[in-house]
Amino acid sequence: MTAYWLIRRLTSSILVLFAALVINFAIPRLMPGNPVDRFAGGVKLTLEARQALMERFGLNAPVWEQFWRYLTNVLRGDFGLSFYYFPKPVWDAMMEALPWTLLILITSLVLQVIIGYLLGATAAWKAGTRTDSILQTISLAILSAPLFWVAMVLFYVFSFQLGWFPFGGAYTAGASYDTFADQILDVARHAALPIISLTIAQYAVYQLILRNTMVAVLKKQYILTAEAKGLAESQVKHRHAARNALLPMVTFLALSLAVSIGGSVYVESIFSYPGIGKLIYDSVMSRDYPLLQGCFFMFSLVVIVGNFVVDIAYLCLDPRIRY
Amino acid sequence: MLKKRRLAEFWQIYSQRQSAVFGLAVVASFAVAVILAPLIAPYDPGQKVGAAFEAPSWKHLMGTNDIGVDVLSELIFAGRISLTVGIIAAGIITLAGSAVGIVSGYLGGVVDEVLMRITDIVLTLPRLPLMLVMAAYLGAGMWTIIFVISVVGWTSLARQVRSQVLSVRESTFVEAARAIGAGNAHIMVNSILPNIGGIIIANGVMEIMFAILTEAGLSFLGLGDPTHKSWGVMLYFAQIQGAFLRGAWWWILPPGLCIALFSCACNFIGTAVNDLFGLKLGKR
Amino acid sequence: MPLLTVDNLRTYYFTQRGAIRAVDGVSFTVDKGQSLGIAGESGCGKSTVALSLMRLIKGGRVVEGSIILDGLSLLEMPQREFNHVRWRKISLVPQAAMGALNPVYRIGDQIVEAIRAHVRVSKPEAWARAGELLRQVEIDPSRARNYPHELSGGMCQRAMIAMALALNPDLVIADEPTTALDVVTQAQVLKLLRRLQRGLNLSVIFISHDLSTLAQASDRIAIMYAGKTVEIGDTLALLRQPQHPYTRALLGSFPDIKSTGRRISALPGSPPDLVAPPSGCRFHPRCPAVLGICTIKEPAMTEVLPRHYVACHLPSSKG
Repeated sequence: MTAYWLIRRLTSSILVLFAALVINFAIPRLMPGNPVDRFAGGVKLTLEARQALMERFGLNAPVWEQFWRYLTNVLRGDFGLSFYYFPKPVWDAMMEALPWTLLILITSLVLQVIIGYLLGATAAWKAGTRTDSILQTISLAILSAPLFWVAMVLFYVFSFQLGWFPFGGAYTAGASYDTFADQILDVARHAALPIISLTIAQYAVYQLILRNTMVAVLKKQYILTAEAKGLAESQVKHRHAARNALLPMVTFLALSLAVSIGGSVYVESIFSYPGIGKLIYDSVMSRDYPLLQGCFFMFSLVVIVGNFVVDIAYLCLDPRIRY
Repeated sequence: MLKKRRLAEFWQIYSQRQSAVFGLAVVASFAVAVILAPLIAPYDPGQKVGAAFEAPSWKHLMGTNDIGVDVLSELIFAGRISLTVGIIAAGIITLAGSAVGIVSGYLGGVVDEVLMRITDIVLTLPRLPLMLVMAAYLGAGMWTIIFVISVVGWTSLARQVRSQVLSVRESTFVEAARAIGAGNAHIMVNSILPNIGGIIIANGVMEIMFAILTEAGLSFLGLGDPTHKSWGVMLYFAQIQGAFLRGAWWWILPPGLCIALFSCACNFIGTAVNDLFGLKLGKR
Repeated sequence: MPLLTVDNLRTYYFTQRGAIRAVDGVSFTVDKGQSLGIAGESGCGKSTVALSLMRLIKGGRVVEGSIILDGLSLLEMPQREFNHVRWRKISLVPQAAMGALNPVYRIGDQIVEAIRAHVRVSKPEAWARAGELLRQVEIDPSRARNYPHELSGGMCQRAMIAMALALNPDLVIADEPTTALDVVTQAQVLKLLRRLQRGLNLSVIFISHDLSTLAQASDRIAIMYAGKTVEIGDTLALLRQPQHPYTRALLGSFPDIKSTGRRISALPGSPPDLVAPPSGCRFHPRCPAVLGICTIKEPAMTEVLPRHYVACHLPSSKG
């Protein structure tokens, strides 16, 4: 990994974050209406009150100064105070929510990749047979279903009708646990359906990608060599064929982060899971602009870090790639 | 004459796939159904025609919702909104994406660099949050949804069109056109455009699928127009009016199924067309 | 008692058009320590013979015949048992070695994998052995830590040979081992193969479309045409006194650096369609000395000179 590549990656990451900040800054100012009025939320303000608020928010200063102030604030982690949870700082609200989102996102991503891998490898190995076409059709069908609807159905069947899973929250409120294991179990029970929804909605692409790539790989000479060496079928399938077909899957992972992260918004809303997804949704509904902007920035940050991690994984996977 | 023969050829290859034909049949049925909505819907979706939360019966094949409106009728009319929004948004995306791709690919240089940078940034920013931010300021409604979908959706097509344009640009017949003295705009329209038609059509179907799914999602989150209900808006109301608590599965299932079915159909069609043109379709 | 006896081997590929009779009744033997070259045009079935010996045929299968290696009947063994035979008793050096090596693993890893799949040794021991093997093929053992793309074509080929020798097999099949290489490297690899063969008393089946390489590298040569063997004999004898018109044509189409003024005879026509091959002798449409009987009856392999077999209706000629 050369320093040159590192610098390039860092600069483009910073550029994206900067764009997110610009969006956060510009959009409210482009929209009709005064930010102060939004803060007031429909309450009519007296002239003095309005002046005072504008002073307080620094809206009288020139745009550049405002932007600079905004930037430096962000760097310090100061995203302002939430309108809805006033006077709670946006940063605090986000930090409480972030771990939960990361929990379900990362778990489901791992599951998606694993399930996609297993099904894709099987489909490729048996390419052209009925197993293959059945797997393909099922996956395409599942892929077409909207995530939030899948989540709704799961919620209805498993939480509501069957009562296997709780209605909401990340853990049972006010509960005391006998052991650490009990605590983990409780968290797991609450996280299960969100994770399952996310996984079902998105595993199929990995399966399809792996299958297609692997079918091409299976035609290669080195697969013949591997078989000639007398290796067991599973060894050829996984160590030789699938291993070479992983790259496009990982590429897709990077590309899809920006999209799949949106899934958490739906899932957390439906399952009342207190993550950043639910937070950003609530902020839209309650017109809590500081919180909204903070969450947007946080989402961008997560995506960028995720991309970085995937790039590094890339390096380990294919020795031919050198940055 | 030539077009007819090419069409026949396409159909021959296309119809070999069961899934592709199925997809086309589904899309066609939906299209017909929503166009003929006033004729086929059993009731007026604006009117209370039964008790609230009635289970499906012969009188109401899909039961009624919280205000006593017939779900089936609502569903058919909602199809109009969903499909219309989907097609309009997909149209805008296709136009914008192709334009950017063509200009960027053909002109190259600084224009290309800048456009590609912008594309990268839009691609990297988280989609739904970005849409939410914009929608929060613009307010709920159909046009807001069309707008935000367009803003985030054009990038994939732009990239693909650009790479195709790059390869066509270096081809000999474009050189010849230039040698004759054709201007840039002329070349772009006459030589480059026909060659990327394949990509655009193949992607177009997928864009429709993307638009419909995204509209449904945004409407579900409450950003849709309550007076012009789409399938997504139906689900939104189902959620907030407690369809769960009443066990009104007949309200929850059909809209979602319609969305899923239509998207699935688009998916099948898109994949088949894509294979037909021998292209690699970029995944979103 | 020969090490390998192949008798009436028939391997067909099954396609929509019909069965491609890629190998249609091939018989030959290989003695211990002997190297047999199989020559012929592309599509004559020589690679299919190699793959049949390793039971690696895809999209088709061996429909008839027997393969006896060191007393073991290879075709009748259950798959599990045969997996043990693979690489231990019979190994393969495929064409274009760089493509035949997995790009994401190091050379050493792949050799070690071959070893540990069959013998219980520790990793360090296997790596040591891999180093030894590489030294045998004149590669610096430290290169075991390289990836295939970091080696030249010739080195990849030699690494592949090293891997094929890992378990001291009785028989090594080399499928066009020098085709993808430049002339200088070709000579290197051929010399190496010869040396190894002599030194380890190895039996080799050497497949090539290039008679000149076979001339250097094999003790005996089998000429194949359209899925059948047409001539088999000791190298020198075959080259000096080719009995089959096809062999003669092959030899005649070589420009001879030493002689001038001799015309290069190219063979007219092209190889037959193996789904529906010609009746009688498959070579008859292109044979310059075709007789009436050639179109009706397939000639059998007969010993016309000591240890020199030919399948042809023409009376034995002086060459």
